[in-house]
Amino acid sequence: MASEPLTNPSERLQRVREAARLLPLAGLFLVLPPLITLFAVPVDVAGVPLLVLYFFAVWLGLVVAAALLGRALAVPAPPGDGQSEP
Amino acid sequence: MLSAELVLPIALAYVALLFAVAFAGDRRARAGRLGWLRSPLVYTLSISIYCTSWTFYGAVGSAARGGLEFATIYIGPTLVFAGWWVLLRKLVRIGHAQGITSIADMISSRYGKSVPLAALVTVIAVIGVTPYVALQLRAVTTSFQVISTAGPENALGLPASADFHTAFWIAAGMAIFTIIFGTRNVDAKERHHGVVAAIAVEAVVKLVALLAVGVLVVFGICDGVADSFSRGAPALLHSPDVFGARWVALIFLSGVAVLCLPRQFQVTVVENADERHLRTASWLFPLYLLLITLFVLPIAITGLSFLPRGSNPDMFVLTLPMWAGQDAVALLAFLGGFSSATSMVIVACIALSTMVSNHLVVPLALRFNWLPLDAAGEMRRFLLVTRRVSIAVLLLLGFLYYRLSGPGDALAAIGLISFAGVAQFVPSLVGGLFWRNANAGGAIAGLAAGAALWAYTLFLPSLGPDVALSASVLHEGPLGLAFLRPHALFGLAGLDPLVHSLFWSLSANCLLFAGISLLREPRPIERLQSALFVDVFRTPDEASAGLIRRRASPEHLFALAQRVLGADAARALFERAAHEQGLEHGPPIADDAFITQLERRLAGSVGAATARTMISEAVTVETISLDELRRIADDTLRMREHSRQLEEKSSELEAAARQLRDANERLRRLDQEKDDFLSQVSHEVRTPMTSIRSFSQILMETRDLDPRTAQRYVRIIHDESVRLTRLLDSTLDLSLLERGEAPWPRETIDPEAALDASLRLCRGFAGTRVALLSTERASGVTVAANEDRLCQVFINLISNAVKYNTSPAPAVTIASAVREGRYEVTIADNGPGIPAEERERIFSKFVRGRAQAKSGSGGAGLGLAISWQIMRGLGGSLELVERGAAPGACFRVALPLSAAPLLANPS
Repeated sequence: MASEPLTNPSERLQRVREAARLLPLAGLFLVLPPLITLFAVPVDVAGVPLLVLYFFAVWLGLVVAAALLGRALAVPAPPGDGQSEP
Repeated sequence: MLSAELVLPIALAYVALLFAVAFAGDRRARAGRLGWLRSPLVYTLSISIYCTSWTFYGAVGSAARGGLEFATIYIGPTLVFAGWWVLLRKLVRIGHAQGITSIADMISSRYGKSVPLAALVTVIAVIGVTPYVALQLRAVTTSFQVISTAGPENALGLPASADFHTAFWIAAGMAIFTIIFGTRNVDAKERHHGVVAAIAVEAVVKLVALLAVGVLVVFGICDGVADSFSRGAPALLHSPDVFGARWVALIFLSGVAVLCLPRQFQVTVVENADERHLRTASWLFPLYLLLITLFVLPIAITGLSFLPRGSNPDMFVLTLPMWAGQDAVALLAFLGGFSSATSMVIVACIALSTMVSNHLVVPLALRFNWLPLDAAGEMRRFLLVTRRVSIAVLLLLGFLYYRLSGPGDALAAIGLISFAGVAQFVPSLVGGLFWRNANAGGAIAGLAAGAALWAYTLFLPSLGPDVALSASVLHEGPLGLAFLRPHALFGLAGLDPLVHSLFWSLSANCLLFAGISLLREPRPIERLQSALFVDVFRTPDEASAGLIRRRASPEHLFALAQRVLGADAARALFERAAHEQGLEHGPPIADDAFITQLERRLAGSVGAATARTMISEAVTVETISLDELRRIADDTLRMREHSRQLEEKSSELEAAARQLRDANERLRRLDQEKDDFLSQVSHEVRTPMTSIRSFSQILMETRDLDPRTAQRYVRIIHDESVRLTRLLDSTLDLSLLERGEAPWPRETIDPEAALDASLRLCRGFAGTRVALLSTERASGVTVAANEDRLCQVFINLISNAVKYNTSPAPAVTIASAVREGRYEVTIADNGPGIPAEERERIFSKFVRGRAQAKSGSGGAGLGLAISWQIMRGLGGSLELVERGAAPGACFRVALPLSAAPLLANPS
């Protein structure tokens, strides 16, 4: 049985906008100490230090997330939606 | 080996190519064929002027010294762009809405178009960016020396002495290019298409060049990625020491710089053609940064392990290909570095020269009457000249800083001084976007204090001892006051100088910004601008239109427009405005809308603050409607009111819709009932009518009918007529009852008497077949009712119970009682009962119980419906009692007790 979508498109858009606001905070959390110090260990993966791999993976993740969110945000806002700020 | 004779022509040819691209771009734009010039890709590439020669050469140097630390400079902008929805979108929206021309214009517009604030921001920006320009000059000069002159020092990337001669000519060349393509239009809002085209090309060149060097290093010199990393010292990448205060500060600074650097503001906000381009840039620009820094670590590690000790890591990008004998790659790297430097210098100079002319020179010129007041287009010429001169002056300042600071510091260290300088804009810029009560006093105090502390703790010491600050001041503090030492202010020693400076300058900046904003009452114009900025997504343009009321003579305004825009443009503007106002000829009416439009147009040339000053001089009366302003500014109230109204409206609509739906449903049911009723009545009427017609026809047509038969036929006709009449009476009765038009006199009666009378009547036809049992009875009860009608109900119920009782020992039990203030009569039989599916409809018209239908006796099915209506009319009720498994049906008649005493004794 197909599950019925619980939210309408404008609620979905609202959540995408919230995600777009939170994305930089999530990125900041991942590159700030103390979390990043966990990866500053002498471990190499395929010859590349773990720290470098981690850092560039976070970076690429941010690029991909921003691209996906950008696409989701491209949905035209419903008419009369003057307030898109909290 | 490359030589100056080879490198110089190639560099010049490359410059010629850039000229051609810029020229072609300008021509395309002039012809109106913008096409790719305003695509999101070109927009993103122009933002990538963030990657200057600091990135191109300095990132590797920074990586060689501090490992992953170099990447902080790129992760900050990545976060800001990935979070474009929060900050950049608002900046760009305001930029479009307010016609912003520079970061100084932005900040001063926010704080009531303040002229001193714009000037202050401009001065800070010029001082702050000077080291950055010097950095570019140094990088290009050094790279030119390294690539073009043979010599042991040059192979190390450390020329014995800086070649200021070359540096000067490079600066001059950049100035010429910028003047030619950057000051074509006086309107700063008009985009510099030629320049944008050239820097887009340069963005591609520098990316390709750095990737080429990276590929050469990783796969040419080293044996793949793993090999290049394996040569590195473990301390470089595995030490957690990097992630301290400096790491956090650098991420913050770089994120801030990508907003506040005048050139970044220029390309991101001012040159933005379409807000939607941001969406592409939000991921494409971080991707560009990721790609351009992809090979930085391998290049740095390889340079450290292959090149001789003491080599300049800032020049690895150039010296590694040369060491490997790859002259072509080295040359490409040189062009890449050259590209990254020139594109930055060009855009930075355009942005800064606009700021200098609009916010420093023009206000001074107006104040001291340097301008001939009546010459048409004089202002325009004046603006172009100031911009050109300021471009030259800016490059000269950069050159001087380079000469003064010498070859000492790493490229990254110089760049960070600039970053810390422009970071002073952050509290005023970002605070002003979200904080309604931030005002000009706070912004000026915060900026001034922050900039002063930055200059004292970072900028002046960076020039070296005995240039701006003497060595004794640097080490012992001014006048020997140790707590004022520039690198350990108030005894805060042991911090990294950058973190130290950032801490003191930004703390003072924020504190004063917030404190004075809270203390000072904003002026009306500040309130207006604050509302327009903070609520840019909520305030439609029309909302601000009626706020400022101004009067001016059209002649004055025309003179003003002519001075700034030139005679032709001014005339075109006025004619268009007059046309829009519906005037055939003559000047347009100088109403609020027109004055605002003119101010906006002038602001495009001279900045909002100056434009306002100029308009204010021509305006005779100016009032700002405070009430209107309060309405706009009091946003929370407005939003709450709005949402409350919406909610109310929607619940009203919902209720109305529900009522309509109910009414419609009721009407449909009634319509259906009416149809049913009509067809039932016709059906009921037809049966007796048919027999009447048939028998009367027989009587008419048969001559010799024996009298007994005839007699029988006539009786049938009579009986059927009686039945018909009874049916019609009942129908009439019911319809009257249903409409509530049967007003019977209601009097206080004893219902027991009515029940007894009905019982007496029913015993007659019950005879001996059915036992009528009257068990428990109430006594001394009075109700307000009509005795005849009540009897009708009792008789109907009892006769039904008698008639349709098919039990072998039929019995009907009648009981009455007083319960909960009501008089109740129950009439129960032991007959077949009423099946569950009929219970619902038993009181409807023309519904006969199954037993009745089977018995074929001639009730019309109206009796119960009439009884039910009568009881309702009497204020009582008639219902079918649920009896569970007990046989037969049981009806309950109930009436409210009457308090009044019995008046007349019923007979």
